[in-house]
Amino acid sequence: MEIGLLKRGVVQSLYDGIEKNLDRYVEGDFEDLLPDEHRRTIRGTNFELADLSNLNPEVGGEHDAENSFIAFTALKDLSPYQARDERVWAYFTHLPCLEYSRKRWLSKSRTKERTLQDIRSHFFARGGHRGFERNNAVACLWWWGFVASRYERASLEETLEAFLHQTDVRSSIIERPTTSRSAKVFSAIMDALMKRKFANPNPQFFARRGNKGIYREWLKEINRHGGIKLFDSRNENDLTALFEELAVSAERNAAAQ
Amino acid sequence: MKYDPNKSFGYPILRPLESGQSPELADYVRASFQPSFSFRINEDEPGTFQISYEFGLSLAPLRKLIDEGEASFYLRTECRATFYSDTRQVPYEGEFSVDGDKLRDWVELYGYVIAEKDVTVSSDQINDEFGYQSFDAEAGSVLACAPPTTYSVEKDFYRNIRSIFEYVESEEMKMGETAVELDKDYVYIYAHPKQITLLRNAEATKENKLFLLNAVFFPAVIQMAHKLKEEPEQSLEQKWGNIFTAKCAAKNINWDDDPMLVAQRLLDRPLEPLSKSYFN
Repeated sequence: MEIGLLKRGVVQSLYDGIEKNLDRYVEGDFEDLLPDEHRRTIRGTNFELADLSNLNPEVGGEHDAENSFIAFTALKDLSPYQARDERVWAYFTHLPCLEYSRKRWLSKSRTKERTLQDIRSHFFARGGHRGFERNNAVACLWWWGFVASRYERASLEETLEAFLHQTDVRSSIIERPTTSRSAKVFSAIMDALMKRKFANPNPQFFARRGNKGIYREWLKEINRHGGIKLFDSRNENDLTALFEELAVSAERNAAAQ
Repeated sequence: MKYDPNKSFGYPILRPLESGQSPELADYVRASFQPSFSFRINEDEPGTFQISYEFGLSLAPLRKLIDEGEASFYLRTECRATFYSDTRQVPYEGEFSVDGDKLRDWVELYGYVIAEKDVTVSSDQINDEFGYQSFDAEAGSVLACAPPTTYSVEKDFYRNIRSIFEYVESEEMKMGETAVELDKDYVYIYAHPKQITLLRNAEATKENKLFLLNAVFFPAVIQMAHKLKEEPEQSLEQKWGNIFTAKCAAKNINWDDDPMLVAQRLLDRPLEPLSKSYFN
């Protein structure tokens, strides 16, 4: 079937009516409230509903990686332009992925106010970039998959595992423009992370200690070097070598402390 | 790499003077680096954008490094919304195109001069405060940079102004009433659900569209023009504000004029076809 979206005015009506529709979010559905005339499809796209049925609502980096793989591969026909449209993600969180979004982000033990806030955050995509990259239950999975898919030296599953298994590593990379936007720089970052996750495992590298961690010192150093050099003007081998050297230095400094 | 006019690189950097900045305080005196860009939809290939560039560089030693292949101009195109980033080594001037599906909201274009290898830069225009007229820079180092030029990249610019309006159902509205919300990216027209059904059905005929234009969209456009005039900064943060001003520019309308006149001109004087059809 073609990938769907809700009409813009319908998304706004849903947003205005969250409290009125609270029961639908907590245990009902939106099928009767969102008939075909409230929806549109994106021409030239295709996805299988069944491919999204394996999304796992359990919390944890390993499930984030698994879910991101499922969502990105199922919705691979979306362009980045289309994936930056709230109407697409409101369609998925209210219709095909309602059950996943509810189980992942809503809890009956929470107060009504907290539940309303969780719905605003995770069933819509507002508040700038974070609305897509961190908050919307399905959009964030797609965008993590999109960023990871630009690394071509490993399978998408392995890349996602290294990229997402520790939430702070992911957000430190994705929220730093120097490290996430350029495919070349991101690939050099992933070379060092993949090495420490798989080839020569070093769990200490990924460990968060309060507000510190070896990876944080490493990313800070990369940022510092990127302040006076244009990384993208260098070839990939030079960048990989530089980032590896900085990673080894961060590991050495941590061991000496 | 974010542009920061006050950032210290530890060596002289050629940057455009900030407004109000004394030329005496620049890293290089009497020298300038001025990349200029244009960004427009590619008329031969709709769906792509055409980027043209030209680098103005008045510092002879840097020009010499470029001519000898020891440094190069680089152009970086970035779009935060789509994680698009393209950095390319370029000649003094040229153009290339970018797939529109990779861009959304805003695009930033940055120009640089970058050392291709370890180089020595010598110039008697280096500010005396550095205390030297020559320095070494490693390969990859920035030698000149400029603030980004930002373009709004919104496909709705090229669609009918009607594309920025959306009906939103509200049980609180009475039949026959409409209200406009202008605090979001798009313009929401609130009406009773039954009224919205009637309005949608009315769009089926050309005659009815004339009435809708005059009774629903014209008052909404007046409100938009009024809001833009009164709160331009806030309005231009919204997508509708940018689309509105772009449409005005395309029709040579000053959006700062009387809101009622702006609205009439933007909608091609909607009273005229109504008069011709019904009042003659």
